[in-house]
Amino acid sequence: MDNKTLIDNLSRRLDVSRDTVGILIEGLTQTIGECAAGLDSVSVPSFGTFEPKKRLERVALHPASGRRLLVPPKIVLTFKPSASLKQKIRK
Amino acid sequence: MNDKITITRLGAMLALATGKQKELCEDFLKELFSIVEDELLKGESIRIKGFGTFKLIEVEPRKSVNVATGEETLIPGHDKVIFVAAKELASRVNLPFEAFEAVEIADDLPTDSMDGDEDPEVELSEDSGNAVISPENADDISEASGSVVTEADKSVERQGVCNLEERVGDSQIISEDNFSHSGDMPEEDTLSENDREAELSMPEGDVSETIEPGIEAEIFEENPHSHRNKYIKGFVAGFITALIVGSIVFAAGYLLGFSFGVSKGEDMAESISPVIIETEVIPQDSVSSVYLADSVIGNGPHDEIGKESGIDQVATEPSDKIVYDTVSTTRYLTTIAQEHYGNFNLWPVIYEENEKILGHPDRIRPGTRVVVPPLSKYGIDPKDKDQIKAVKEKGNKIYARYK
Repeated sequence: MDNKTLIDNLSRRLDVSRDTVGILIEGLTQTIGECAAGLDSVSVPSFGTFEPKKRLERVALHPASGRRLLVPPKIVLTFKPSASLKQKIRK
Repeated sequence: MNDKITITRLGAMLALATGKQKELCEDFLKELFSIVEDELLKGESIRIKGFGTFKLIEVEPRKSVNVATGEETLIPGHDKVIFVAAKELASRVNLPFEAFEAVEIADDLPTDSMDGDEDPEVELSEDSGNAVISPENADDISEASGSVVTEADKSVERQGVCNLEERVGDSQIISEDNFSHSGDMPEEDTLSENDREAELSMPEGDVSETIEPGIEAEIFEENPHSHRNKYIKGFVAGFITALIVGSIVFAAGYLLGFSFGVSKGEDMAESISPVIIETEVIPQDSVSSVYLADSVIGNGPHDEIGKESGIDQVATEPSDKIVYDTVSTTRYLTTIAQEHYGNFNLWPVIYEENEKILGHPDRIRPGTRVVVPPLSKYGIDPKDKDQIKAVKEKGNKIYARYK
């Protein structure tokens, strides 16, 4: 399902305009982004957890030049599906 | 930090961020995730703009061994949910570390950082030991630490999330430190060095004799023992002293260009009249200890020679300030020549000046302190092309010696 259909579906179900849904999705991105930047995970019951993970800095070889590079640390957002969702998907 | 945020709290935060009603936000979240779940159950992927994509990927069936029984079992293939964050969300999550970029590492980095750490520490302890801490030196240090603190503060303010930012701050402090070691310290050294030399030249000037400060100190140390102990011990000590005195005088006479006989004669006169010497010992003793410390740090095996050359400078040009510089893994003679003379081709001048403590010009030990002579001493004009050519050839000759 692409973004447009999703927004249509949501606006129908919530009985609000598409713009409002757009704002809410934008706000959700911002909120989860802020939480994750502080290494707080967001859990949605029976769906899963959005878990930020810190990757440490490391030394890597530049594939083209063969020079050593110090790759800086970073935070990545991972999603861990809940047990119930996993079960449902497996069936 | 490391909190688990529930859906109700997320709803409240969302309401705060968007200015919509809390109930609407909670409903929105529920509906959103239920739609995503339905789509996934249908086996389809779903893309939310600016947030990310949920999709299913197939896991191949694989073999496994039951650890307890040793039986081989086949784990059947299945689907699993994958979430890929959109670029916008990923960069927002990575905001605390956004400032960093991948940095290329030089091949000689490990040794460099070690040298950089060691050297300044030694310098500092030396300074405090002799109680000649120059004001510039102290200022520089406090400035450096000040800037580190402000850097850390800034980063905390900018990102506004405590613990992570502490880490960011830490790493910035480390990098700051490195900069200060590599960038500021060498100049600092030369500055404090200059100061000390200037101060030292004063007591040296007062003293009427310009021969060895070390000799007097040694005589001063040895003499009381010989008076107190038995005659044999005194004789042995006197003999050793005479040996040391003789060797140092020989070296000094050779270096200073004095005629050997004259200086030895003077020295003999000195050792005959110890009463006179004792009055001079106190100011010179401190001088000799400073030189000893200098040479020990500058160049281990070349102690004697380093001492001599330092004294040579003070004795011959007491009025001029002597410029010192330190060779490190990132500062070569060429770097020093470029800084002091404005032309790296003039490095042989520095080499010549310090010939006695240097070996192969490309294999100078990091931390070796060299005297940077004024160009006028060799009568070289940095603008004269012919002279620079001559100096270059001198450099070639120096290299030729080590082939």
